[in-house]
Amino acid sequence: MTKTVSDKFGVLGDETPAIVDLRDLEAPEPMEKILLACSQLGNGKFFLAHLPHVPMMLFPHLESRGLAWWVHEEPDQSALVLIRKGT
Amino acid sequence: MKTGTLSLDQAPPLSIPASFFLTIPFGILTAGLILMTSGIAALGSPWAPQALALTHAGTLGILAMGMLGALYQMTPVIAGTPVPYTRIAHLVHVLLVVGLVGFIWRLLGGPVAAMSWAIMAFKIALPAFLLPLGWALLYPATINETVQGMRLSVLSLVAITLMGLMMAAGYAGDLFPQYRMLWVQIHLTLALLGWVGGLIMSVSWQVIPMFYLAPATSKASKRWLFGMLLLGLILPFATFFASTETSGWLSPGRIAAISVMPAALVIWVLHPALVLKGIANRKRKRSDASLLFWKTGLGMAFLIIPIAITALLLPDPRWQVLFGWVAIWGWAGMIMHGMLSRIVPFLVWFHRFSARVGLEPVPSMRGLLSQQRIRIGFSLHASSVVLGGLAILFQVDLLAQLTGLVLVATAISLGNMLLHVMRQ
Repeated sequence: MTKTVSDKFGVLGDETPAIVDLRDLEAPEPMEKILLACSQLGNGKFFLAHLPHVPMMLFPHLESRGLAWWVHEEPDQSALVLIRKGT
Repeated sequence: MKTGTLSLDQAPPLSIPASFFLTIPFGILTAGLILMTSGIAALGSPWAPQALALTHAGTLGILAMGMLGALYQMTPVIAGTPVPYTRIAHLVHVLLVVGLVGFIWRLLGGPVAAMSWAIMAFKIALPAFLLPLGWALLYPATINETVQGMRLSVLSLVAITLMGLMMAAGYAGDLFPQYRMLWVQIHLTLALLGWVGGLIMSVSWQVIPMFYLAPATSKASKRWLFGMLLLGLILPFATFFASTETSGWLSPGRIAAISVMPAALVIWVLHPALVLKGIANRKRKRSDASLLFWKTGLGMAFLIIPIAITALLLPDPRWQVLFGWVAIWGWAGMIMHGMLSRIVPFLVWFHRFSARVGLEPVPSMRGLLSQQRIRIGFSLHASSVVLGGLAILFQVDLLAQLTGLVLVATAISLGNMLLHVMRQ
């Protein structure tokens, strides 16, 4: 049975944001797009991106901006990254 | 689902990979000056001291500099574990430079003490590099095929350094090891296929999809390639335990050269074919000059086995020299030059600008380095490969010196490119 986004990220509850597909962008464009989007994110809101791989170099930036994040690696080695602003 | 606790402190400071990368133009410059001053003497026989100096300017001054810098940068990112005491990398860098200078000076007629100092420097550099980086690779937060490849590559580096130190002792007043040909064969095999090939292959699995949007190599293919590479690296060691007596044409050195075939097929045929196929099937075929290096370097890889077989069959030493030239400068050096033109702008952008994205306007990564600069570097590099190949085949002194001159121009071009990006 295919898992839904809510199954993959237990923190989501009923609010499931649209998935922004960044898989067709070469590094560092996905990071650029995510950081740009997160700078405009409202408090308590989520941003969900689909990336070509687990973005290890993005996470330190999310931490330094006080953003919470979760990652789910897909069988094809791509990754869903969920980001939330504030608590 | 994973959540993270990575901090910016885990990524190495830019100064660490940068110090290694900025030394590469000096390695190329050294190789160019050796060719300009020694001429065809450096390309006539692989046993000539000038040829050994040229070879190690390539392997230590160019390839090792790039690979150590890349390992310090990529290990925390790929393995998810920071390299402890990462600033020791600066000591490793200095020791490598001191060792290289002493090594080349001695081979070009310097005092015996120069080699003794080089050996001492390498002996300190090896554990200073291995212990922190090896720890991060042994206890990774994430284990994947790239981490496995990096482990194999570092293990090969340890073996070739130890063997190299024992052979270098012959130039420092001690005896060369018995069965020197066999030692050289295993040293060369582990260096090109394990250390260099293992790292190029495993890093390409990461960077080719990441930077060029090529389809990722399947896990099954990676496992097959890794297994065959491992087999081909272990088999030559068996020759140590087999008869070490020379028996006609099938000497231990030649047996070692033949037993390495599975690894050679992986690194110089299968992996290049898969990467080239991946590049041809990119999702977004955006023009990128750094791909010229990848395509040419991977294309050159297909020449290496035929040249190696010719070198095994014919007594003519030119083929052995051509093998080294194509493998070091045509294949590995070409790929490394291309990686630098892609990874250095990425690192500079990451360290200097990424933290400000969304907070203030920042330049794009592509804006840091023009495609024209990369193309100039490629033209010079490719010209030097062709000129050097012709100089080796036709044994023309003037061509060897001209190759040296083009290498000097390549060094200036690369140095200029790196400084241009790093000053932004």
